[in-house]
Order: sequence, then structure tokens, then C-alpha cells
Amino acid sequence: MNQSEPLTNRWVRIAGTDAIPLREGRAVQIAGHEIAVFNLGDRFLAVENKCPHRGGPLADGIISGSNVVCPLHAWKIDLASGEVLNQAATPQCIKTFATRVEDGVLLLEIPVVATATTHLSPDCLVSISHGSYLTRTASREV
Amino acid sequence: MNRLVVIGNGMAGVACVEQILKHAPKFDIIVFGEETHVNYNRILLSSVLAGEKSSDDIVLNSLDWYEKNQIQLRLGVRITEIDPVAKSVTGDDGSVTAFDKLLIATGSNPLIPPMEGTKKEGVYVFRNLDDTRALLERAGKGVKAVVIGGGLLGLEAARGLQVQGSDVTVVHLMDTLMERQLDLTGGGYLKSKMECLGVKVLLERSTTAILGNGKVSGLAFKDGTSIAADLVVIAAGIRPNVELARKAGLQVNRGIVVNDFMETSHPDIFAVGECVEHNGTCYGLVAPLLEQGKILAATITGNKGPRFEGSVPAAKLKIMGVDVFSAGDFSDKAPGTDLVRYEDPALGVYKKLALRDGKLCGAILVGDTADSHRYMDWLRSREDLTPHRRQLLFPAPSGDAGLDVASMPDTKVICGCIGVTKGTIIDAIHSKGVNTLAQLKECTRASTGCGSCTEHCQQLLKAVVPEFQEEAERILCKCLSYSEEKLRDIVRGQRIFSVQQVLDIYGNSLGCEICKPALSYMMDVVWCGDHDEDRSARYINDRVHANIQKDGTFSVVPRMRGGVTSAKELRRIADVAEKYKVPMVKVTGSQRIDLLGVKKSDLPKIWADLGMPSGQAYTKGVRMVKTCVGTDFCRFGVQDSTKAGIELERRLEHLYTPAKVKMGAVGCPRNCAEATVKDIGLVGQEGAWQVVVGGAAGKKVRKADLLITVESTEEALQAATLFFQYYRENANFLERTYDFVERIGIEKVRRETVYAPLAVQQGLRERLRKSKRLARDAWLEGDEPRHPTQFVQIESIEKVFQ
Repeated sequence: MNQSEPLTNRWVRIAGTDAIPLREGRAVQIAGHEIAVFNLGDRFLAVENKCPHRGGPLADGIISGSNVVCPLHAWKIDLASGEVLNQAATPQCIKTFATRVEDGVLLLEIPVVATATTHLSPDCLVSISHGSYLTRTASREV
Repeated sequence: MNRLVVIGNGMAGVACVEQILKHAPKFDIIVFGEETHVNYNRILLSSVLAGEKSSDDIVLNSLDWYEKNQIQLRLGVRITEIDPVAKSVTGDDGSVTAFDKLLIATGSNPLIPPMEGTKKEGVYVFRNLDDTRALLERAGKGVKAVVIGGGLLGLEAARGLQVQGSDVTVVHLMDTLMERQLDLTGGGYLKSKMECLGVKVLLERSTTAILGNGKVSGLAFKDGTSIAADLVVIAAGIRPNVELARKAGLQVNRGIVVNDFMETSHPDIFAVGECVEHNGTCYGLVAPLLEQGKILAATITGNKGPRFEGSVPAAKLKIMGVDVFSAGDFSDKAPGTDLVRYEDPALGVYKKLALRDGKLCGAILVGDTADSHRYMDWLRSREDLTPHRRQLLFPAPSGDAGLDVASMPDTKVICGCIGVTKGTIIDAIHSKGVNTLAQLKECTRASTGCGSCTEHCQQLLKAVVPEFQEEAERILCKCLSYSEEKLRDIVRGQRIFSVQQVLDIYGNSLGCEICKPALSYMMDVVWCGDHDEDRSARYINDRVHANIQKDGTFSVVPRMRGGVTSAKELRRIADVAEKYKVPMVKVTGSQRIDLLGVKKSDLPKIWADLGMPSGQAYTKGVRMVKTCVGTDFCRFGVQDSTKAGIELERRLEHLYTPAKVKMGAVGCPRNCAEATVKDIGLVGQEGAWQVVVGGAAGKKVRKADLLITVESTEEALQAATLFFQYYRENANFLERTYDFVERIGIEKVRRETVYAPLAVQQGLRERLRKSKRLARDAWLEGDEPRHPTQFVQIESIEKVFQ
């Protein structure tokens, strides 16, 4: 990504909400970000999938309330704020991403280069005929 | 000697007799009991129903006690008439007994609300030991039980029935459970706790009829709806049992009317307990009843003076994990009432205090009742709380556990039920040589009521008795304040099958990386694999059956029983390593081959290509049995260690254990495969096997202890598996065998495994067999994932390129 190009936030459709089991996380790669998305039962939370300690895959961690514990060395991270909780000596924060659910589909708000174009995958084309939101998205893109 | 006749052999009557025995003059005492049991703790019947206690556990006064105190006990005799003029009572056995003084302690009867069909088969009340036994017999798996009444007793009955396996619904007339003790919010918290346990709750339902042709089949409600039921328990409240008194012409309103000295309208007749009415109030909870007994004892023995001045109503729900306490008047109707509230929906904690003129007048605690004693004290003392306003709901943490009890005055009541003060307990410790909790109970009766003061009693013992040893309990983590041993009991006793349920009911509902895997293991071992497996509570290694590496890739170690492989297997391993570009192939210390640096998404394909079972190298489970070449080729071998090791591995593989279990089998004492530093080792001797356990060559180096020496290979395998299952059931999570054996002591380990009674050994074997039957090679999930995205990274529907 070229830093000089302007960034803009966009909501991107990720997957059906049932792709992530209750109280587990999954990694998703999109627009150059690797993001860990978690299903907390009453909401989804997303952070970058990289522990600030040694880069551990947070999506593979155990959830404790709205925190995740890194599977490598048990650093605990608040999924809502991105803050590292159990390393008081070195306060750190990781990137978080807003989430939203529409018609059973999970969306993430992702900073993308303003000029970047969106390509619809075949999966999406199939579902366009069903969901009204999908149609809206499609028409905006067209 | 004057004769005292007591009608009623329940808690209030007998507690009063106990007090009378402390005074002079002595009476010649006869106690009539309608039930055929000695005096037991009625409050704990729900614990009997829930299987936490046996009926013997709740006995308060054994036959010996009656004998020792020369009390004539007439069980199974119902008194049908009191003659207040001739001063005699008539029993249903025809006997007529004269009295000088009469004590009525007839308690109460269950209240049966007006509805049709209460006489049908399958309709019960829950009042005494016989009711409890009948319910225990009837309740069971698959039985649809409905409890009418959502008060203390109804809820406790519901939980008990549910623990017995029944499908339970509580039907309550009002819009909140325990409406006399809780407000709407507190009732809401309680309702969700009960629902969390699996008890269904229907509010605002008025039952009009119990349906069924002779036998219960369901319930009909006023609103026209109905539900099915095989069993109905009516727990809609109690009514003082006053018929005898009424017939005898005593003054009776709702209860038998008594004054502050517990005297009835007849000079030689007294009454105590749930059957009496004092100042317009009937009491149904234990503490005031025992207080009445004390007053009455003074009155009846000619020491008249102390007065019963009524007492603050207080109630505590006795369902393990559902903490509810309520006391006093907590409404804000009276002017000048301040309500102080705290609630945390995630923790399920709700606290509310009502203060009037700076004094506590009522309290509700749901989800955390640790401070109930403090509030009871404030309610009784009517202390001005203005200086404590900032600490009302959060006491300043006391650093030293002993400090708390040390700072209490001697007059402070420790056991509210029996009314035992700190001074009395200290006196018992010093003058009567009390130094255990059991002795303290025996001597002072403290903590024999509701049992909620047990902790305080223990603290006092600890502070005063130098040799008092508190049971060393290691709390699992801050999410659940129980030891693993206690939790195992809870899980088993309360029939909990999932990690989240334990956390919801007994913990903070959140859980963490410490307790979740520990509870996952506990579920597996307690239910022998027949539990609700929740992968979100497992480490990533146990979600994808591979060992996570520092870069987020995984390692794959196929099982190679006894370290024996073949050219075919090696060829497949080599092919896999090439096909998936495995960065490192390494021979491990466990005589196996490790493929390192594998991507998560390749795992299922690699397993399929390998065609070998999981080696469990990533989990707290059965790792391997390392073997030497035994007798087939070695010129020193005296036992076939290779075959024995392979067989041992086959019998235990795929099982989870508290921590990893590494084993070894060697064919002679030269110990080439290092069996004496393994968790379990078989050491071949001429004509015998030594089975050794608790060895280690890791962070700690420890030579294994000898469990037993046996002659045949089969005996050696049996001994090893007995120890294996014993360790599985009794070790704490992450506790290796070497720590476990040291903690328990090898003598005790032997006593409870290889030298245990046959039935105990069979139990261990049976549970191991069941676990083994349900255990399967984890790598089979490669073909049938538990979840479509178990091994894959999610591909986003919408692609954004930049």
C-alpha cells in the first residue's frame, strides 16, 4: 500500500456469521490486512491477527470474556480496545476493526486506498439475487 | 420430678429441649414424634434430594442422645387430643399421657392451594424425610417434573429433582421468584441463574387443575394453557399446624398465640416453632425458632425473664452455585429510605441495601452472599452506618484472614441459626479441648443449621487452635473460587456436562486460559468422554490436533507405537514431507518423527496422506511408550518389552490426561529406553516386571517409585492402567505424575490402586473402559471436521485488492 494515497474506510462483507463458532476466532485476509475475528455470542469483535509481543496468531487464542489470550505466551488483549492487558510495564495497543452484521453476514470496516476497486467473487454473485443488501452493494459498485 | 411432654420431634422442639436440659430443675421428658425418624435438620432436606447429603448426614440428635439424656422418645405416634383440664394428651395408639408442662412444637403443614386433582398419583409435597425419599425414588432421567411454587422450598426442590435427572419446570403465581425475599431485579437475576442450571421457570401462572386419569399427566393454568408432567411437587408455602391447640381451646389466630415469654393462653402449655404466632408474625426460618426455644427454656424452668422480641426475617437459598440472601425490609415505600444498589449482569451479581435514618433495614444479595454476615450484624445492631457509607457494598479488603475474626467482639454471633457467639466457641476450644470443626459442631452445635458460618468457624479454629490444619485447597483460578477436587465433586454431583455451564453457575461466566482447558479436561474425565465437548474452551493445539509453533505454523507427529515403524510408513512420511514442503523433519526424543512448520490448512491433507493415527504430541494426553528391542534381537533382554510397550500404548492411546504422559518399557534393568524416568515405566526382570510410576527427566529429574512387582506381562499392564486411570481422576490439571505421586504419597497411591479393594479396582477399570470406548483418533476429524472452518482461514466473500 502506498502511504501517500488517501485511505478511506469501507465496510467489506466477510462471511456468514456461522463461519465463526461461538467463543472462537478465525483469521481472515483482506486488503493486505490479516484480521482475527471473534464470535462473542452477542457480538463480533475484530483486531489485527498479530500479538504485539512475538506476532502470535490471536485468532487461535482462548477467549476470556471480551479478551483474547495469545496462544504463544498468554498475552491478554482487550478485543474492544486493542489494549494489551497483562503487560503493565509495556503498555501497547493493536489495531481494531469495527464489525456489523446484516442479514446473517458479517461485515468489517477496513481502511482501503480510496481508489481501490472492489471485485465481487462468484460466491457473491450467486447470493446477489437473494439479499436486498447485496443488491444495494452491487448497484453502488456498478 | 415434673413431667414435660413435648409434641413434635422436629428442629424447634428438640432444640428447645436441648436448652431446657441446660437449666435446673430437671424434667422427666417425653417426646412424641409423628415421623418415625430421630430429629434431623429439615433445612437440609433439599441437600438430600440433590444428592449432596445422605439422610444419615442430616441427623441432629441420634438415639444415643435421647438415651443419654433420659428422654423417652415415642416415634410414629400422632397426638390426637390435648386435654387442658385433666392435663393429658392422647395418642393415635390410644395411649393417654399426663403432663405437668406441655410443649407444643407441631411445626407446620404444606399449604395446598385450591385446585383440582391434588390427590392424584404422582402429586407430592416436600416437607419431610419420607417425602424426600419418595421423590428420590420417583425422580429420574426423563421424568417431567413440575414444581408449583417459586419460593425457597420450591426452588430447592426443583434443583434437587433436576440433579436426579428430571426435566424440571417451576410454576409460580407471582411475577418474580421468591417475591417475599426479593425485588423484581433480584428475582430476574435468580430466574436467569435457575435457567442457566436448566430449570425452566414459568411466572404468573395460576394452576387450576392437575390433569390425568388417576395418575398425573399435566397441569392446567387459569390462562387456558397447560403443560405435561409426570410428577408434581406442591411447594406453595406452609401453614402453622394448630389443630390440636385450637381443639384444646388455646388462643389461636394464624398460629398458636404466644407472648414474649412463649407462654400460650394456658399457664402450663407452651409452644415454640413454626406453629406459633408472636406479635402477629409466624416464623418459618430456623434462627428465630431456635431463639424462641431459648426463651421458652428459661420460662418453663422457672427462670422467666428473657423475652422474645421478634427477629429480623432472613433467608438464604441453599442451591449450590445460586447464592441468594435476603433479610429485613428492603422496600423503599417508607419515607427517608435510601436504596444502595450494585449490579453486574455479566457476573450475575446483584446487591441492594435499604437504609432508613442511616441504619440498615434490609438487604438483598444475589450471586455473591459473602457479606451476608456483615449485613445481618448491622440489621441486628441497628448501628448508624453513616461513617461506612463509602464501604457499604465493598468492604475494605482484610489482608490477614485471621484479623477479621480477631477483631470481632466475644459477643458477636458467629452461628446465627443456633445463636453461638465467638466467646462460646473460644470457650469450647479452651475448656473442652475442641480442635476440629466436627468437634466444634458436636460441642456447640455451631454451623449445624444452614452451615453458612462454617468458614467463620474454621477461621476461629485456625486463629485459636495451634494445631488446627485447614484443608489445603488450591483454588483453580480467579474465575472460579474452588479447588479442582471440589469442582470435580460439583461437576459430578450437580451433573454438569459443559465448561460454560460450570463457569455460568459457579464462576464469573467468563473463564480464562487457565480454567477453560482445566475444566475441559475435567468434563472429559468425570463423564468418561460422554460430555458436551466445547472446543472454544480448549487450547488451539486441541482444536486442530497439532502443536502450534512460534511462527503460527504447526508440527505433526504421527503415532508410532513403541517407536516401531516400517519401510512403508517411512516412505509415506518422506512423501508427505516433500509434497507439503515441510521445512524440518526431526527424530524426537520419544522415538518418533516430527514434521515441523506445517500450515494449519494442510493438516487434514497431511493426516490423510500419512494414514497413521495422531501421536497426541500436541496435547495433555498419552504421548508414547518408548521401548528397547526387548527379547527379539537383544542378547540381554529378559522380557519382551517391545510387545509389552506396544500393547500398553494401544490400550491407552487417544485418551486425555491431566498433563502429558510419557511411558517406557525396557526388557532388562539396563534401562535402555529410560523407563525409570518416565511417568509410567515397565522394567523387565528375570521372570518379573517392575511397574514404576512418577519418574521424570524434564524440568525436574526424578527416579520413578516402584508401584508393584508382578510376574506376568498382563499383570504389569493391569497395574500400569490402574495407576493411569487413578492419576487421570485425581490429579490437578497440568500436574505431572511426578508431582502427583509426591503430593499423594506412593503408599497411598498403592493402597488406592494395586492394593485397593477389588470393587475399587473394577471401578477404575470400568471408567477407563468407558473413556476408551468413546475416545477416537483425533486426526479422524481431518475427514469430518467438527466445524466447516476448523482448519481453514476464512475467505472473505467480497474481495478488496489494493
